[in-house]
Amino acid sequence: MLRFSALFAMLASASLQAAEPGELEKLVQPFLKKHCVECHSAEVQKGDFRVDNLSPKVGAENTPQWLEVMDRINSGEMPPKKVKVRPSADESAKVVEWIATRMKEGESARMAARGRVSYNRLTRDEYVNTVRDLIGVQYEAKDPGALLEDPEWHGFERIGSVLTLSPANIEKYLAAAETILNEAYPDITPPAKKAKPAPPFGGSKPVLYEEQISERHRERLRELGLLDKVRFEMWPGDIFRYSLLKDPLPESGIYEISYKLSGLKPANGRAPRLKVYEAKLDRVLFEQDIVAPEDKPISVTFRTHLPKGRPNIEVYNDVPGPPNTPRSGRHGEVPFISTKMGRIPWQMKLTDEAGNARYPFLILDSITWKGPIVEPHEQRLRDDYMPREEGNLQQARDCLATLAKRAFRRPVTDEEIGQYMRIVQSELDAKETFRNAVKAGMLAILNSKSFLFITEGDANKPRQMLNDWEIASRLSYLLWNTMPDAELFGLAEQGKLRDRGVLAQQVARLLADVRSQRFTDSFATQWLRLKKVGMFQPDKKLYPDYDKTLENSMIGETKAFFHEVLTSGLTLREFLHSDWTMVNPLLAQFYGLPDAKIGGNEFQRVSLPTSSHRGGLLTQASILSLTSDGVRHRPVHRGVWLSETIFGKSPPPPPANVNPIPTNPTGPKATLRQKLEAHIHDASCAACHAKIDPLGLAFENYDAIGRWRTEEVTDGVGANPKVTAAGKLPDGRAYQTAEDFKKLLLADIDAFHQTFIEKLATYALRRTMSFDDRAELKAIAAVSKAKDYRVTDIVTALVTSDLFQKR
Amino acid sequence: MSHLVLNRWQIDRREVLRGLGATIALPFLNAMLPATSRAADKATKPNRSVFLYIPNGVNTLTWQIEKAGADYEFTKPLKSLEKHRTDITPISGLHHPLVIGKHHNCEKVWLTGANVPGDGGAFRNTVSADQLMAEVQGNATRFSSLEMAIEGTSLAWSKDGIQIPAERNTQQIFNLLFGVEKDSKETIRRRLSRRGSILDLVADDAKRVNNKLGSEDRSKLDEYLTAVRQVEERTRRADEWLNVPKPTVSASDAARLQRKLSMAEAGEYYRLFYDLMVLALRTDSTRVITCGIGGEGNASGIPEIGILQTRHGLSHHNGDPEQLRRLTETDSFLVGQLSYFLDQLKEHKEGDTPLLDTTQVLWGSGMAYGHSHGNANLPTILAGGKALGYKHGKHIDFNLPKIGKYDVANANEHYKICSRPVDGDARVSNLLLTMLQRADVKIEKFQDSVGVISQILG
Repeated sequence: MLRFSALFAMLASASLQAAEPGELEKLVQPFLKKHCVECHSAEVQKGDFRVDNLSPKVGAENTPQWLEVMDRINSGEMPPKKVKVRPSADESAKVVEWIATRMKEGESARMAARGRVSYNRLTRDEYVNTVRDLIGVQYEAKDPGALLEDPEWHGFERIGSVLTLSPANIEKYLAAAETILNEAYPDITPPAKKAKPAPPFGGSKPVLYEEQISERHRERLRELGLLDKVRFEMWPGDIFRYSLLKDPLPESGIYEISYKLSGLKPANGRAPRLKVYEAKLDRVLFEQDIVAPEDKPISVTFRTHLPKGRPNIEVYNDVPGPPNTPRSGRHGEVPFISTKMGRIPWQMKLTDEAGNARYPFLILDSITWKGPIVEPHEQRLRDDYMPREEGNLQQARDCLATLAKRAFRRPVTDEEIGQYMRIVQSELDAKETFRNAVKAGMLAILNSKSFLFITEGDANKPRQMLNDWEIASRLSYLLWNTMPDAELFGLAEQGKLRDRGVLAQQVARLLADVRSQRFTDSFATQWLRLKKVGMFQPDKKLYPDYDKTLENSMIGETKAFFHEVLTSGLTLREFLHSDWTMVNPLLAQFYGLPDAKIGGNEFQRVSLPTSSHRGGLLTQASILSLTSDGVRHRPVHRGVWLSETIFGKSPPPPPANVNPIPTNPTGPKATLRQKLEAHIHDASCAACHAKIDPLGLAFENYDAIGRWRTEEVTDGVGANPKVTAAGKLPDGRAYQTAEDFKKLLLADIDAFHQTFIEKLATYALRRTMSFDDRAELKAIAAVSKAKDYRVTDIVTALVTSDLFQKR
Repeated sequence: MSHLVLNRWQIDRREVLRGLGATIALPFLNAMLPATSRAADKATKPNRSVFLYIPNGVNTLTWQIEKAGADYEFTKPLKSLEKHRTDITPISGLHHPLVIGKHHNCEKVWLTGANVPGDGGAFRNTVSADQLMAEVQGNATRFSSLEMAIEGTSLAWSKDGIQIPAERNTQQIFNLLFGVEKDSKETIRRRLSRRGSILDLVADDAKRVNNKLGSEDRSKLDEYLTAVRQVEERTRRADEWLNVPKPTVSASDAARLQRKLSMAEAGEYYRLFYDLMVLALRTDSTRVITCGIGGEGNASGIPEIGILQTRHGLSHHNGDPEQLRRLTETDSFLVGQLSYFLDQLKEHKEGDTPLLDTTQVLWGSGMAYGHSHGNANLPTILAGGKALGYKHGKHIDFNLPKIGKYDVANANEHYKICSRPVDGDARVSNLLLTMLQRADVKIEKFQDSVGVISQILG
């Protein structure tokens, strides 16, 4: 989108000695007439571009077009080399300088004209995090019927202008806030006289209650003293439905659930995988590979938010395995005690004669429940907003003021609090309880524009710079995806957040906190468009090993990789190429990493041998998959992705009114690349594809889910054709392999650096970058380049830049 | 109240029960009208509209009906519609002039005809035809319109060009239409009234700031205010409808309609959506429905006919005969589902009138020749709505007067017809205008329409 050149920088600074506006007639018009109009006028319109009809108000009107003119002349691209009469370098430079000056003037004018207040709606994730940090309630925004998915723009979910608001959003916000407040402040029913207090919820249960075992076996096992040794075996794909205690969950809230179990992994096979799923909510509560010997079960514990009542929990051994026909797979009437005791003859054998697992299977022992759990800091937050004394309106006012100030992320006026108190009063007048009346006031706060929108600017007077409160929010939502914490609020109150030193300290503090993982996850997802992974479900026949676990592992690698680069002080170069990556056991297996001795479930850093064909982002399975259509890899889409993500350039869309692509029905087998090359005859298509395709064709050695290959499996007759990854960049540099290609990108690190800063700024400022931001983006680049492109330094350079403090 | 019932649409309660079958126990019809309904004045004969969108176009070579007029022959993918011949009109040659040659936004502008940026970037849409209909037809029902999507996004856009989100979860749709509230009427009324005053307050709060801003600065806040005001309106409406119990559905129907299905069982899953639509119309819960049957980028394969590729993947067939065959199979499958829907609408009667006669159904795509993003000659089928004044039975073709005859054997020539409009005046907006007028929307022009399609009017 943005192009920079040394020449431009020189001119931009030189431009401060403003040229006379009269020079449009004297200098620029004759130049354009002489060198441009012949090809770029109403009659010819080469490249669909006209200069004869451009507005003379340069800098104010037709800005993108004038910028294009400037760029093309500046780069020497125009007029083209082949024309006979070319301007001298000096003539060109003068025109470029003049246009650049007008641009600078236009920019100031537009900045002054920018809307007085910007309203950026909280995204769904931001809403959830903010609510948790504000009231100490976990809201499950993705459950059916909860909040709507946010629209995105080129992968970015936080762009203010794109986050629209429909009545459905408001209805959902209302319902969400009611749910949240009811959980924070449940209705108190006074205990009946002499009634014993209900025993606290929680405890353990065996996998099967005695009464679930048939009488015959129950008595037999009782005699053998084995009745309490009953376990539950789960073969691949098996399901277990008895996770609940006899009592329903007393309240909505966070529960801690433990499963005690063993997991047997066959040699060279996948580990069994415990997946706990809530069917009504369609939510995976927990999943993890389990490896633990039969006689040494382990406990795995997790916390999850569940609604009051009886959840519908299903436990799966979520790993591919042999088909579970009812006959061989079915649990017999005989309860499972141990693999040594064997199974019914027609049942699937779980172990071989030596007692080793034949399939990945789980053996469950017991389940333990605890909750609902409210952490002390969460309870303190809730207590902050509910008056201690029944009926005390002054306390109610103070409580609502505290809530509003935090929720709006700025000081609030008495007038504002007055509005919320009027709601409290009208609820009291309608005979509501005091508690409910205060809750109504809170409900209004949580649905007001000042909470739902991150607001920048002042309605009363135009303002270019952010105030301290706005900076606190911008920083906090950038690195933590949530509202500012007490320390940031404190600094805002003291007016210290415009101090660059303080800001740099805060960046370090926020990045050191675990919450910064939200930034690495979320920014990596949006910048790299990771939501597209698995959008087209890979064809089961072609990719039998592909499942949700593998998909999540692919995405997990890329997020973990980004996190590692940021937190270990590495540079941008690692994104393009690295001799290490982050894998879990499944992904190590998928990549065929030799001797990968990786235990556990976490992603860990491993070094990559050259034979692995991996390294950097571009050859990660997630990136290679996300452009595929589930059947084939798509080199053109790979090229477009790379162009947008690494070079920040969106190739122009296919021009309207081109003739349809003639088809070439299959004969002998041909690679997709061969088919593609066969039909780029149209010159207008070819010109553009010559820029896009080489960026994708470098990865021909990777199939639609990112597996390494040397030949392409395809329809047709004959042998599978060999793939070729060689190509030539538009600037003429050639490559033979993906490795070569990465080296070419590394040589272009500054171009990638600019893009990365632009993407980061787009994410941080919630708006697209325009040419008005050029100089400031450039200033950031200069700072982080001096730090050798270290990613943490780029983040710090952005936060301490002029750009970050501007609206 | 009784005269309202008679004026509304003359109907005997026993007849209703007979017509709807024993599966649905209807409340007394006079109880179906909210006591204070402003709608009551406007209540007329039901006038319903359904819009169904299929993504990525079709295999235009096997799709094209070659002869115009009454004695046309159904092509292979359309065969299942033979039995509905007198209730449908296939139309060839329509297009959206502002969208020609652009792609991936076809779904968003199918019912709006707005201009879109070619690069798939952000843009502001304009109002969709269904929402104009909902303004007129939506007052008499509990829901002024219903937006759903099997896959993909909503087809409905508000007057401010904001997408009205579609529900994709069938259980949520069922609950919305037929679910019984757990709370008592008083509790709900209290909640609605509390919501009403809160909405009032937050609107006032926003208005105060809005008044200080220049008109150019206000777009986001205006959006918020409009949304809040509309929710206030919906809250009032919900309050009015509180005394009217939702239609009850028999336990077996409820169980059937609340099944949890996925695209793995595509046929069943599609029919579940169609059944919900039919039931929403039968119970007069709404009169305007949009349903996206698949997204341009994410319409899944259909395992039960052995096709696992996404529709998008298939549409980029590159002339491969096997891919084309599969695309035709998928087209046939989707048309088969439409045929099922029309069956259901025909089967259920209000009095003697089949539901289909009071329901105009538009089925189609914003893409024709997906492989090369050709979006002229859009696949379009209009069905039902005889009682609204349609005369069906002919294939209306805007290409033939200019091209003389089709030659699908010459694939590349036919693809040109599907990529560049043959008749620049043959616009989807004309059809939408026609449908809008049938739905009693008083307008003479919609987007870039140049007139109604008179050939389909009786």
